[in-house]
Amino acid sequence: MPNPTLLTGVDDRTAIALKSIRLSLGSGPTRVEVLKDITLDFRRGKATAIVGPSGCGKSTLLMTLAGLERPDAGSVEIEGRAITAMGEDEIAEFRGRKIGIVFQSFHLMPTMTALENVAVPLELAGRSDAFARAKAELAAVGLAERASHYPLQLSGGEQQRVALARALVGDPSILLADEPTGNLDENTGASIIDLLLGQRARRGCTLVMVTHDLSLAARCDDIVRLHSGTVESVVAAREAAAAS
Amino acid sequence: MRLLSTILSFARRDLRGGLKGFRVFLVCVAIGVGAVTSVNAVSQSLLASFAMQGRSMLGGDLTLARSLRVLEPDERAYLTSLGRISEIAILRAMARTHDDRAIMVDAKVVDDAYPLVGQIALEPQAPLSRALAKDDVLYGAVADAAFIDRSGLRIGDRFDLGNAHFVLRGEIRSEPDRIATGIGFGSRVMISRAGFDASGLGSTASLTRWVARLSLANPDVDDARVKALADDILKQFPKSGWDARTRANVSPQLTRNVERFTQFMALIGVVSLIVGGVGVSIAVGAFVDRKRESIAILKAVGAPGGVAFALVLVEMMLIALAGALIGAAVGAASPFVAAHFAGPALNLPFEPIFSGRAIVAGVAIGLLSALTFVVAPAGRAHDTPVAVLFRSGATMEGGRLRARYIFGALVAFAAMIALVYALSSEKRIALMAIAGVAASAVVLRAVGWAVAHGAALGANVRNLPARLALGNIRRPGAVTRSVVTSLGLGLTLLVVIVGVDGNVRRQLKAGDPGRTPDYFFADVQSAQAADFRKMLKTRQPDATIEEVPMLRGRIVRVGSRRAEEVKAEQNAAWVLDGDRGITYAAKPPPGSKVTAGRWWAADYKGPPLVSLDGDIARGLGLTVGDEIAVNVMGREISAKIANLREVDWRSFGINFVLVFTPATFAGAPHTELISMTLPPEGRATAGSLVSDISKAFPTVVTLAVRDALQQALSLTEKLSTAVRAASSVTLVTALLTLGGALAAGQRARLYDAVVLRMLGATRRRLILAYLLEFLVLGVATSVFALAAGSVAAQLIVTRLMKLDFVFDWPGLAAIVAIGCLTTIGLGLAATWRTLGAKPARVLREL
Ligand SMILES: Nc1ncnc2c1ncn2[C@@H]1O[C@H](COP(=O)(O)OP(=O)(O)OP(=O)(O)O)[C@@H](O)[C@H]1O
Ligand SMILES: [Mg+2]
Repeated sequence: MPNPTLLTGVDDRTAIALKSIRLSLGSGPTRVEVLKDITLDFRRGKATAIVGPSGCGKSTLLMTLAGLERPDAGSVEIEGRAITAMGEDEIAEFRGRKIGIVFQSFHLMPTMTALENVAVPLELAGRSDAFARAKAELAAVGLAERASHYPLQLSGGEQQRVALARALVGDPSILLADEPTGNLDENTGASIIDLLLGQRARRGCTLVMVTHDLSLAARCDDIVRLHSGTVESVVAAREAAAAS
Repeated sequence: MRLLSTILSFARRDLRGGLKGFRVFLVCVAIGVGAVTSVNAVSQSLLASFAMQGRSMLGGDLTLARSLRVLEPDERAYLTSLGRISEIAILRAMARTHDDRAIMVDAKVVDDAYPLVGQIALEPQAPLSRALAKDDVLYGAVADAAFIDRSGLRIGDRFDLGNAHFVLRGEIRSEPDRIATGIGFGSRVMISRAGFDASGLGSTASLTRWVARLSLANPDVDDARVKALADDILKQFPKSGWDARTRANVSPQLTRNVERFTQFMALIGVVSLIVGGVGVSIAVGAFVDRKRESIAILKAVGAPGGVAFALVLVEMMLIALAGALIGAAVGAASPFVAAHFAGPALNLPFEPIFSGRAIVAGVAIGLLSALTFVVAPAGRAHDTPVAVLFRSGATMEGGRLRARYIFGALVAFAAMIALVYALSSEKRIALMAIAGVAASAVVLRAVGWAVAHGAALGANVRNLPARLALGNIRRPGAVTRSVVTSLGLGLTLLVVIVGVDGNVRRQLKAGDPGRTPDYFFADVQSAQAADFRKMLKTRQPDATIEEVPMLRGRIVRVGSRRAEEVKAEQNAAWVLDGDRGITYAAKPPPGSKVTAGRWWAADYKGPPLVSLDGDIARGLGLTVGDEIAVNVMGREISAKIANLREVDWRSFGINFVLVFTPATFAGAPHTELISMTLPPEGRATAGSLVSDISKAFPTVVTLAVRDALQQALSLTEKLSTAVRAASSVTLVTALLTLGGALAAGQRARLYDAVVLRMLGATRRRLILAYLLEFLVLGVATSVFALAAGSVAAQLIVTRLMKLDFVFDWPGLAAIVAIGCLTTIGLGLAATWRTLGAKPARVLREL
């Protein structure tokens, strides 16, 4: 059974509200409608997993939430503000303040040390304590010793921790993750997930995570299932577990 | 063999995809080869034209010239037995107009047989003999446009030369033998022998040079036979004192100047090849990086590293060959284009030819320079680890380049230098230029290294835009060093050229105020000298007047060798070309310093001694104690070199290469050369003085130094336009290289920009970071260019040209500013795209 609050109107328990999102990618003959009329709310302070077959539009949806992809139609509201109505730079600044993102392939700056990478969002926000905070955040993911290493000198798991610290350092109210363990082995992946979920729980921020891993999805509060650009189902994780 | 064909088929498959990523490579090679080939092709055309039209330029197959003495009957009879002859005279004289203006002219006295070869074209059209004939009172004369312009005369107007009255009957439109009969600072007036005799100039002027010209009955004999004939004639008349010249050797000075200028321009072309080479190496590096997976697969299936290298090398050299051929095609076409557009303005015979030599040389130099820059980056393919197949995202950094590839690059470079050296006519200058370029390149490389490492030191600064900028500069695989090298070389060359050019012009414009004489008076008879000086003194009491005796003489022996056999260096060869002014003195002339040997005692009466200009002595391979012989009016005098002088030419004052002891020419007839330096207030009345002098002393030739400098200045300006055009080619190459470097770094930049925007960066911040990055590069490059270029320019101006050097700060500052702005502008233009990229797309792809 769909959770009624997830599909209906905005209230203060809604972190992100998508209304009639349509998005096509590519041009000419290769143009495909990737998101087809998606309306969806994400609950504040909860963890939501997005699952679905490869190519169904999960990553695209996540990019749209982050304001990295602009929908052709519809609106994205984050904590009551419509980012779809903002200019590029305004979105960037808004994202810097509100949203932390973790990718499958880390996306660290190769020219910066771990510490510098983590400090970037705070520096962009003009915070004077950027480096002190960054240090603390690195310590929180267990990498205090690796602060002056460059990304290429770190293992995949370590790089992902740095990316996680970078996503969390600005105390975002929303954390987005796109298959954060996709490039890691099972054990490393599991420890990253523990760290991610633990930090989220401690901070109480909203998490939206794309994953292929159903057992991981089960550890979230809600599960959104996509199928070729449409929402197939939205269920509470407990119900999904019960159903299977 | 199998291997080679495999490599070639691989290369073909690879290049089938088009030349994307190699455009800068291709264009850099094409521009460099185009420049070198064009310069050589144009000069080959020019020299070939001289050779083809040698007869008409010389006015015969061979000429025999000497001062003062016309042909003796026996000489005339002998020459007439060989073919048709014509005897002409050339001299400097003052033409006076009826409104009392005096103009120095290079007069040419012609006989009825003139011109033996070629045609003189007059406007209005008329046969030359009719134009020069005497009517009831007046002798006819024709003159060139320069004379008509300076004198303000019109056709039909009268003027005087010496004691005779002339009427201007026409303008000379074409005078094929103009170069052979030298135009100095004057303008051409042509008169008949009868007019000359009536003028009385022949009896007094010492500078009349009589030239007998011979047109062989059968001109189809080859040049060597003509040369042998000339030698034979000189043997028949050992006392003649003739200076013989053949159609193959019309103007050694002009040929030398063409060669010198060609070499200079070709060197600029070589610099542009080296600058472009940096672009080549960037493109190759990017190619090896892009291809590292194919290379790894190749190695995984068993190809050794050497084959991987060979594959890259062959592909790259095929592209270089394509670029070189494009450049060569442009170069081959350039003489034809030049003939069409610049031919008429050149005032020289110019028949464009297809110069195979220029093309081969250009392509060879281009390919060697490409090879220099391809070998090292291609060598990286050798050690591409197969592991890149399994470690995605691992960059192929670090790892030492094998010594053999560094060695290979050095060998290719040495081969290029050797070729440039072998092809240049003035080895010493070529060597200095190459050494200068190589030194600059090495230092620039070090500057690039220092900038990158300095950036690494400052990379932990706690300022985001600064950190981003420094991070980009220092980034492994960053093109920083290459950009600093190529743009730095381009700018350095520009600083050198602006510095040298500015200083030369400044000194030609002003001379050395207070020291540069305003007028020279030549051909003052010894008997008139006292009266002449008195006239100057009364009219210009405050003027500084210098007077030296002057004779005309030709160097006939240098050490133990005949002058014709001496292989002089380019800077000294002109001294052997023909008659030169020589003098004698008891004391060292003012403005010169004895640097070797000792000056003779004021009352020295012993065997002849001579003092020689130091540079000329070096160029002729002479030193103190050697002998040198001159022919003065048919008499051969040999003298021992007593000392060498360094002459300060900057004042443009009186200076002679050869200064003899007074006793050497005791009793020989000579004239005086007088210079007059005016105080500023004396200049206003100088014009009327010159005109009065021409009346009172009709045989005295007056040279206004300012006019002469003006002529030199306008020639310099023409040449410097050409030089600037050539060096701008280098700069274009440097900018292309910069553009190519930026394009090669685009992927990394795009990634950074997108990640930063993902993290909340606005475009303004990114621009700030880029601005900072390019500012650092631009400043480092420009400051180096300023320093190195100024030092080089100063050395050239003070050591080579022996002129004063003054820093042109505004001009140089402008270059630096332009350098910085260009770097920043191009940098921003190239990175602009990264700002507009769709982040989602990039994040997905990477
Ligand atoms: N630039 C583009 N042009 C055309 N189609 C595109 C473009 N980018 C993505 N697509 C298509 O959009 C669809 C959705 O892509 P998306 O990356 O969102 O899928 P996904 O659900 O994240 O898949 P995966 O689980 O494999 O990561 C895919 O079918 C893909 O082919
Ligand atoms: Mg995806």
